[in-house]
Amino acid sequence: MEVMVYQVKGSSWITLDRTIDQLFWGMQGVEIVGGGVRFPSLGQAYEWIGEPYSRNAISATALEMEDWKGRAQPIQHLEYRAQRLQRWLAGRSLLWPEVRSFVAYQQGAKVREDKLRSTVQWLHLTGRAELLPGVTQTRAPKNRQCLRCGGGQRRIQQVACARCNGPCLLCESCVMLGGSRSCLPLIRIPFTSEQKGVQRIRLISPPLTSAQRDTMEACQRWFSSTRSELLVWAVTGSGKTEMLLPVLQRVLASGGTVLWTAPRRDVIKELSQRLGQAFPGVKQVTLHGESQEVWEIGQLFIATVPQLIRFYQFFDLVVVDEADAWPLYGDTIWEAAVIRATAAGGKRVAVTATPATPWKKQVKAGELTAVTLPVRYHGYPLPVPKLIKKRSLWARLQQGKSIPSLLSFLDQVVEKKGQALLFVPRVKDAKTLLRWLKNALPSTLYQGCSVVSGREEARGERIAEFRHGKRWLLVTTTILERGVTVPRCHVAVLGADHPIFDQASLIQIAGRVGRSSSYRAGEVHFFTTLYTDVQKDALREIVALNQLAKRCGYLVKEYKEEGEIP
Amino acid sequence: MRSWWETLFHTPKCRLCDSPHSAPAWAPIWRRVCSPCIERLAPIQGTICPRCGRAQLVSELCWDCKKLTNPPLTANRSSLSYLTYSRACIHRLKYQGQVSLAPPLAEMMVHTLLEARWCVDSITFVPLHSTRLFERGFNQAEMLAQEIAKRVSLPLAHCLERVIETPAQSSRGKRARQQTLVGAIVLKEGLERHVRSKHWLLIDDVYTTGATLLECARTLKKAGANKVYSLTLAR
Repeated sequence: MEVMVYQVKGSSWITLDRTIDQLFWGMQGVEIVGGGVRFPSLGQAYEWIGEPYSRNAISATALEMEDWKGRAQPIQHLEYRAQRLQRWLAGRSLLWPEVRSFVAYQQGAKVREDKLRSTVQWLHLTGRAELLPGVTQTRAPKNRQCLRCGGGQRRIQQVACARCNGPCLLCESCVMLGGSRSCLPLIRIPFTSEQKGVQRIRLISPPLTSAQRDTMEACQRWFSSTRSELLVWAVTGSGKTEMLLPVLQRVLASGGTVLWTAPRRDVIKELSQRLGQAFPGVKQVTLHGESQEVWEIGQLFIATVPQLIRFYQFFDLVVVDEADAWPLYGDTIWEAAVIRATAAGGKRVAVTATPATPWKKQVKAGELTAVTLPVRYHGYPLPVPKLIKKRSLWARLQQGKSIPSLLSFLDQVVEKKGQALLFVPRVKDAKTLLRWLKNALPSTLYQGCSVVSGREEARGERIAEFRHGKRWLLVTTTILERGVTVPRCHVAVLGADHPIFDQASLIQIAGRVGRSSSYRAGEVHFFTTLYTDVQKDALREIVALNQLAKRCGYLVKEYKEEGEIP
Repeated sequence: MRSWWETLFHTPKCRLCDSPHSAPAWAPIWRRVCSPCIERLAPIQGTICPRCGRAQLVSELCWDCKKLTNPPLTANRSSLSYLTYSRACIHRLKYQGQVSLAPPLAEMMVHTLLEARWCVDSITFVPLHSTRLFERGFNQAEMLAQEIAKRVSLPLAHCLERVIETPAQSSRGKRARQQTLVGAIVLKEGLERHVRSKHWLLIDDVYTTGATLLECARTLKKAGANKVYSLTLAR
């Protein structure tokens, strides 16, 4: 994309459309001297100037529509187009091709490249839009950075480019959303808060339990306070979505925008339905890899984490579901994307069943507000896993020798008419286990077994089969540790001493059991070759949460009075 | 998450999916890709149609090739079956622009090329229209061809040009594909002498009905090329 650099007032300016700049500076009584220098790419132009970021001619505060009304016809037209574009793109951070598709989608007609260039240039000159290269082009590789996702030089590649015919830098960290290149302009338009208006929002929510109500009130108190971050520590199956709905309602009613984000696509799809039912009158946009609503404008956004790099200081409330899960936790790019998407003065809620250790430390030190919901919606305590030590477990499985404890676990599942999830650490272990099951089980039972792993293409169907009860046993890796809810579920972890099963993972796995109040027979067994600290910590945390629930009086009657925690 | 250990000590990874997989850098490509990836890519092996390279049970002309009389394309070979995962890989390379996938995929094609035992003088690729090229920023066939030419030490020639902007082939039927392509691909000016009496190798990413490749081969043949072979990543 061709850009031009010219000199005015002793400094260099970059333009997409020179005639607009002439118009603008002409209004100020300044004349552009000389022809200027042309560049095939924005990155090269910024490299030539020697400044990594853009500069606006006037500040955004000095701008009123009245200022432009008395002006000449072309300026009025330009300003009208600019205001429309600003309304559409407010709070977004988009590359040039994305801006084009966005505008084409919104106006329902083909975009004229020259008009779009002049409008964006006008917005940039008047201080309402930032014009940046997708990737900063510098001679020293260590200073290169993707300005869209913030990715460092490790994943930036120099490639040949047909757009700018020159050395062009491509960021591979955010390549799944269309490559960010140094020759592509990145347009960022901050959100202006004047567009908000108060409105009535109807909320349809199931009745809350006493535990949920207490937690909801704590959330409301936090929302009214000045603190900007909240950690909601709610156990698996506690109905945390319903609990946060009143806070969402408050933000939506004040005209704010809300984002609910989670790392996994299936969670997003399910949430989209639930939130749609809860807020029937709100324009809702669901964003994920296969979504068709990419360029919609709405008030309630439900998006996977990678989609957030298209937003810039937009959301007044950001709810991060399963905040400790891969790929969000510990990845600076995605964590930064969440922070970048939050508006100035916006608030963030992290929801998790297994908070990471640094967060717990922050809560202890008083730096982070936390709300704990220690009980499930039905009021029964969390199932406590049974640790079973079995020496040379894998050797026995491989040789097809009998393992009485595992067999009795399976017998008991069959007896209680349940379904079993068997977790293994690695994909190849799943095959070993399946071979063992073939020997150990009668063929009628073996027919109901199947394997699911991240590499399987038909995994959606197999999980659906398991959900509908067509299969009674599923061997799986950690991919199913979150998000699967089967009412009559029993769980066993084979090789619970493997490092892939960390504390959070074990607690999540144990949380698959006992989700329904009608089937209470579900059990959790951890088969291990040696006891580890991780297992003990996981057990301790589950017991501690149960005790907390009992102290608060949230448990159902039978547990309250017996005084015995399972 | 990249731990400090991985930062200090290089961890070998699968060239396609980034999962840990150790193989020496000089190993052939099929050893540097992890086994689940190979399983999902489904490389074409065993008996194939001698003309179009389709995997089949018997080693004779397939049904589609029997119908063709005197095709301009001598033979085609493809490395992978065009299934879910290989389609996703090509998608990542082509539409999302993940150019780091090009070298490993090109190496797989080199493998297939060497197995085919053709005698080739020069390499060229299926061209993109200039508008499409500007939109996408690169031509995936050109990138694959560059990598292949580098590895087999053959000259790479930019000799074809697409003059008519045809709609995307992937969304059209066989008959429509052939019709829109008539006259769409021409030889670049002043290259006739260069093309004459040579054996050419055409590179593309996907062979579906072969319409595009046949049209390219026809253009080359018309300019006096001796034989035209084609090599695609998937079919």
